[in-house]
Amino acid sequence: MEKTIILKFTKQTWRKPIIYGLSKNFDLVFNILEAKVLPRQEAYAIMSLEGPDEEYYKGIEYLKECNVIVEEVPEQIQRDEDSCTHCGTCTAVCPTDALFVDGDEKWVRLDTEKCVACGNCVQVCTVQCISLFVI
Amino acid sequence: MAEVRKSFEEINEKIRSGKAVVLTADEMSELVEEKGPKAAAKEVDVVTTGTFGMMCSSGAMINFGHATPKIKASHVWLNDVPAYAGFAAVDIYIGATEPREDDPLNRVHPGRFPYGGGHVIEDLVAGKEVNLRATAYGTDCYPSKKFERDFALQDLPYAVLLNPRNAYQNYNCAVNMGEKTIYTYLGVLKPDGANGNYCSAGQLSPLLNDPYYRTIGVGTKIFLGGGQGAVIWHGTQHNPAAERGENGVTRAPAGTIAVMGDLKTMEHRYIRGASMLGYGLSLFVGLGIPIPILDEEMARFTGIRDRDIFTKIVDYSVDYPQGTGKVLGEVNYEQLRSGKFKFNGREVDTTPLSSYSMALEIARELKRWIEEEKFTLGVPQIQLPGTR
Repeated sequence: MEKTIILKFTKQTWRKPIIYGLSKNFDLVFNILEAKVLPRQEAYAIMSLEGPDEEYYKGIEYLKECNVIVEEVPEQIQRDEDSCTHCGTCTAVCPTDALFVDGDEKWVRLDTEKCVACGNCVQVCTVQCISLFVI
Repeated sequence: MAEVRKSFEEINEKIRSGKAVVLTADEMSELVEEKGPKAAAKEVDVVTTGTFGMMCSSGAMINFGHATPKIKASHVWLNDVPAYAGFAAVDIYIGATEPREDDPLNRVHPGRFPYGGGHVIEDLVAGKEVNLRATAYGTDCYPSKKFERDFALQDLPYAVLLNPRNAYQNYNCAVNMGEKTIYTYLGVLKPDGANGNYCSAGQLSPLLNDPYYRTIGVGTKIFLGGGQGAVIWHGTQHNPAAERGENGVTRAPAGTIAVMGDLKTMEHRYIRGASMLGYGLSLFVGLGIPIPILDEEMARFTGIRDRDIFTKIVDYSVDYPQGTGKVLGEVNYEQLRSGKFKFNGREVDTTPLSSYSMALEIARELKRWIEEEKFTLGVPQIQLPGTR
């Protein structure tokens, strides 16, 4: 199984080495896509987590035991297909290649499975055809 | 095999009788590779090109008609975007990059620029009503000092797209060698040369298929925004003296054209207002030019492929804004189109900005016009500077 999840840390947990345990204690591969410590020392990380189902759930349990709040990505982007000009500007800022230029004819495609809802594309879209929505 | 020579008139006669052989520029490239330019010149009469990108030097010339009492407008706004009114009474020009008057611009950087002149033009083409406000100082012959009305495109007596510089023959590939992300007219550039943005239809691009402007000149009939338009002059910054490769193709930004066409014949799909984060506003213009295959040389020119077209890699953090003229390297369009190229010992991700898929659609649509609607070729009345 591979999922994109958001980890939320509090002032008490953000300094602790927790994420490395996912690989050390369980048969899991993690990839941090975005991470930030906010002014009040709350922190979050968006990451993809991959491994056998059983290990995945054990890993999530482990995170919860460490007092990390775990959420699945609650937002998704949507694109107005008729409005898109396929200029490709969004592909420059997409961190996960969810937006990519496809095939011989170079249409810009959106793979919602890969999207981590970072919103970069919403900002740069030249014709304002991409928006974020809550699932 | 005898030398191939065809005149514009002979080709137009073939178009009218439905016998012309028309290929899109990408199809021509394959044919020339397979059979050589001589055989291709014999077989093919017209090659259609296309491009769809943000072309900032664009705008619309509008006459909004006389009201009673009459006004000689001094200042005019369309949906709060200022238009230039320094012409006769109710003639105005709205430029694509003009921001709405209350836009915060880059005060909060990077600015979003959600609406401007390009969007006014898009709205008109899409059939939406646009609010027009005018003020004036008042004269004996034009007493009115204020005027306001909502106009749809069909209410305007005259509305033409009038673009002083379109369809650049080649363009830079922009990178950012600085330490901070920058926001340019070529999109967002990440620091340390992480991405390279380019903006040309490459092998489909009109002027790259006729590098010495042998067939494209004043009077050439073109596909403009989904309607019919014409080349009316060479464009601003037209530079035929730019560096060229052995194949005659320019290796830097070079020729440009000024074009005109009736907004009322255009389609929303091919005329789109554009917002560039942190930079400003522009207009996506869809443009296509048919190229007659007069002889073997024109077949060779139109047989060009992305791998034969090179452009300069330019640093937009220092060298472009400061005008140092420094070039970091060269890259061809096959590499750019592949999504990655090697530069400075690392893989650089590329972003097109000019839509290849839309350019292809335009070249195909223009081919259909010629085949089905008998769209004939305009004979250049004045050649562009640099014609060989």
